[in-house]
Amino acid sequence: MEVLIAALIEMAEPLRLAMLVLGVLLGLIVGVIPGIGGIFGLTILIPITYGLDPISAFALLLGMASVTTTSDTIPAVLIGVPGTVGAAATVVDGHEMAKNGEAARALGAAYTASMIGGVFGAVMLALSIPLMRPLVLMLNYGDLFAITVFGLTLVALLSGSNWIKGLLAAHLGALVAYIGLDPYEGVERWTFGQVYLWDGVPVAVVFLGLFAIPELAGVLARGQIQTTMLAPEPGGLLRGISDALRHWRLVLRSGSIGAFLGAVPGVGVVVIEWVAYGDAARAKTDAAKGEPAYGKGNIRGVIAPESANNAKEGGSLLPTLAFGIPGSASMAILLGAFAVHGVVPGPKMLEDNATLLVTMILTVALANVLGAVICLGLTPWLARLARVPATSLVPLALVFVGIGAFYAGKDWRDLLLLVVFGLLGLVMRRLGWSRPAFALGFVLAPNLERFFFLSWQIAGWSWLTQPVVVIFLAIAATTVLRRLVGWRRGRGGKAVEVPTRLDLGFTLVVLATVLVAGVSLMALPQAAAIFPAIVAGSTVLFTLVLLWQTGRPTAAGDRQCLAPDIGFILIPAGLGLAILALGHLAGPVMFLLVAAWRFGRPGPVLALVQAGAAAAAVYAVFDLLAPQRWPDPWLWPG
Amino acid sequence: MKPLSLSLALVLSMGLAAKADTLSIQVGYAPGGSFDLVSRLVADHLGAFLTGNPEVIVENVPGAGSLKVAKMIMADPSTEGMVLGSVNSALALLPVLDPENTDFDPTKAHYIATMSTESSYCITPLATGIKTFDEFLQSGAKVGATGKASSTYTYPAAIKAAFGANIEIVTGFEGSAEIDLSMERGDLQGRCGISAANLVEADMLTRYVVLGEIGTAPSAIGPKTEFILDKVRDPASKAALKLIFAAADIHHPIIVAPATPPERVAELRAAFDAMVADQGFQDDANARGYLIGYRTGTDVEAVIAGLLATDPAIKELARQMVQ
Repeated sequence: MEVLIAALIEMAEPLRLAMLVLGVLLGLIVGVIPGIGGIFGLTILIPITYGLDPISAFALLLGMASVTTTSDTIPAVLIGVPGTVGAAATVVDGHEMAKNGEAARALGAAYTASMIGGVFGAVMLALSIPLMRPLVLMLNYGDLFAITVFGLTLVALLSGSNWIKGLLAAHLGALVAYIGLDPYEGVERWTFGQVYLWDGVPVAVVFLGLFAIPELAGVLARGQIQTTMLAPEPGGLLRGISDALRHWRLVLRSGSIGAFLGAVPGVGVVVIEWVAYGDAARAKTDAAKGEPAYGKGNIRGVIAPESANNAKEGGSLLPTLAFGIPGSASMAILLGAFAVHGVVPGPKMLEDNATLLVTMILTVALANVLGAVICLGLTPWLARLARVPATSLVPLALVFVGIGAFYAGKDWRDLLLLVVFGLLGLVMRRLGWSRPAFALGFVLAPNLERFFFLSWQIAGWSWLTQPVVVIFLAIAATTVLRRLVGWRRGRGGKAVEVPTRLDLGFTLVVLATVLVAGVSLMALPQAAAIFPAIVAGSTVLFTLVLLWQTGRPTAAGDRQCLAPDIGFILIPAGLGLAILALGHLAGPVMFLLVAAWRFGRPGPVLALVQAGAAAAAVYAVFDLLAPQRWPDPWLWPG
Repeated sequence: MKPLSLSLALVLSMGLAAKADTLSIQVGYAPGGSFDLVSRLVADHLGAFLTGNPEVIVENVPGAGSLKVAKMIMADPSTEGMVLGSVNSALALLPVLDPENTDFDPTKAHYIATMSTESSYCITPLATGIKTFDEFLQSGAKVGATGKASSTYTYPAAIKAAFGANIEIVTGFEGSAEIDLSMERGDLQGRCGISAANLVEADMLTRYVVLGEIGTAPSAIGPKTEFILDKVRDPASKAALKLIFAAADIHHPIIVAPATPPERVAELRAAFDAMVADQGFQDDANARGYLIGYRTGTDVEAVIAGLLATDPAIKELARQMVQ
């Protein structure tokens, strides 16, 4: 208690509070801008901290890192664009709610869940400190493999109306994730000789393409974010807050997932949010009565990932504090800050730096509260965006999506892949292939391969008898069996989908691509080929089942067509070309001016102001705050 | 017409603004590691020692143990020398250890400097009960490694071959953090290839036994322990091991594209030399816990030339040792 009081007194100093507020404000800004995340903010702030005392320094750093996953909900809910990779799961139900005029409710629930989850993560961290070393070491790679298998079974729950399409989507995600150098042999898999792909397809680009592009296409097609012409529901914000409080069990459950998996190096926020989302969907029967289905605007689908991704921050501090071993790149940067300030991490911190340790935990908790309160205060204004004309909103949002993707590697291929995955997302959405299932396959498949090879090298096959492994594999098997039985029982009563030539065409394209990819694996060493080969084989099998199930397409289904999707994808493609030809500032300006001329709004003066403001914002973030060396524009080479 | 001309002026000015000169240090690893830390240290000081005082920034381009960024720099056609690479020292041995891999040619890239020459070490957790390097060699210990091209693999593989050691190498860890946690958990019994700077982090020295030093000459600044090279009897094995360990002599090298003209290379080298001699830089490095063991670019290139001129039979033996 004495230490707590001492820590509170230390934190109350004006400079430290100011650093906390500054960190939180920067974290909120970083969270809103697509494609960048906490690491971006930390690398900006580290030099500033050299001149600060340790408590102020960590108030600034942790204040920033704790809230990026609070504000990333804003673009996720309002325009379907994940602000950081940690908000992709929030898009699924959050943006659906915004379409239904429930943006304020979704945001209210998300911030409240983020706040409680974040504080819960900090409390878990505080409680874990006396036991932190055994806790961090509790799970070995065999256990993590089994948990990953369990995570993959959640695909069955995210598959939408057609579970085979869901499974196939997850398989496609896994196959995309296997692009790059394999973790065991270090050989190239499906890289087409491109060094760009050695580290795999950039996660941010995949998620921006898969989620942001199709959702922005939807907004443009509707004319505004909201589907209905009704005014946004009054009191939505309060209702959202009350939803999160009413689902407190889910908030804490997801918070536990976030804090616990956050403490495991190599898992990461992308995995955590999808596992929390899938877990919520698994337990849907207990309290979701009256709510829409998952993927259609279920409030629990917003609460779960938001609680988990904020709770993660507390958990991820554990390995750093316990052993001085950073669990993530952010924590590695933080560890560098420890060294600068002469702080030695480890259990001895309780003796040597107890006050600092408690101020760090307090910082995480206070930052989460402050971040949520600021966001809640902004919500009534932000929710009005739901009725802004799409022709003004979508080009502007696309600029930040495009720059966010280009920031990933500052390479023309970032923009090409954004368009490719955007088109894939549009087709998947139109044909009912679950994008969340793709995301789950994409984030979990690499871990499945890596954890398997590590377990096998360390313990042969004996890890298969470990209690955690047995329990999670049993739960996974039960989940799949129950789902299969449920499908067999329920298939008679469901409306039959009308197959279209588009369905058939897309399935055949998938089949042909996977067959070619599968054959190319034969040139690789066995260890590098085995996992992709299993997934490719399984994809072929399920594709054949889908073809058999689809049957002969009928003309009735051909009312669906890809023309609007292809029409829309030309817009981000044009933006990409503008960025490459004119640079990261002039490109977006030109794009916005052309969009204003093409859509007939806003007027010339307002369009100029809007374009100038967008370029100024990009310049402020990517040239002033964190200078980048952007490639020379094609029109201004050398 | 007014909005149109205004628009054109805006686009033109922004296009030119995008071309502002900035010197970039591209790091072949993710933020937070030692390569990132040293690059950020350099970025905070180097600009003051270059003509025009350009802004110096750090960009992380992780992939394949920095081979990705090395390959990108090899292919960079620009002659301004405004993109530097912070890459793994072991890449200098690529023609020896992986002759078929032509992604990086250390004889064509220009080495500007190396920021460190520190030795690496083999360690084991106290809990294993292994007390000496000789015990370690016969222990059947599992040793963690990231990729097969990384020094966490090449060092133990070479040791295993040179001593006929009974150790196993487990590959596929995403980074040294995962290896360290696996040692804490008892899944692994060792790691070969940890730097002195990392060893003094946290309370590692109280929890680990430092078994041996990996380098071509005993270090003056690291922990005192057995010098591994001294323990090898067979002259050929010793020469091959020395070749593999020589990467430690040019730890944290900085490179620039082959297309860079000699005058620019000389200017960059002079700027690095002046920066390292500066008291402000040294104080900052000390504050950040970075151990400086600087060598000039000319020195580094001489070291590499010497390594690559090694007897072909020894090079072949070294290559076999790390397979």
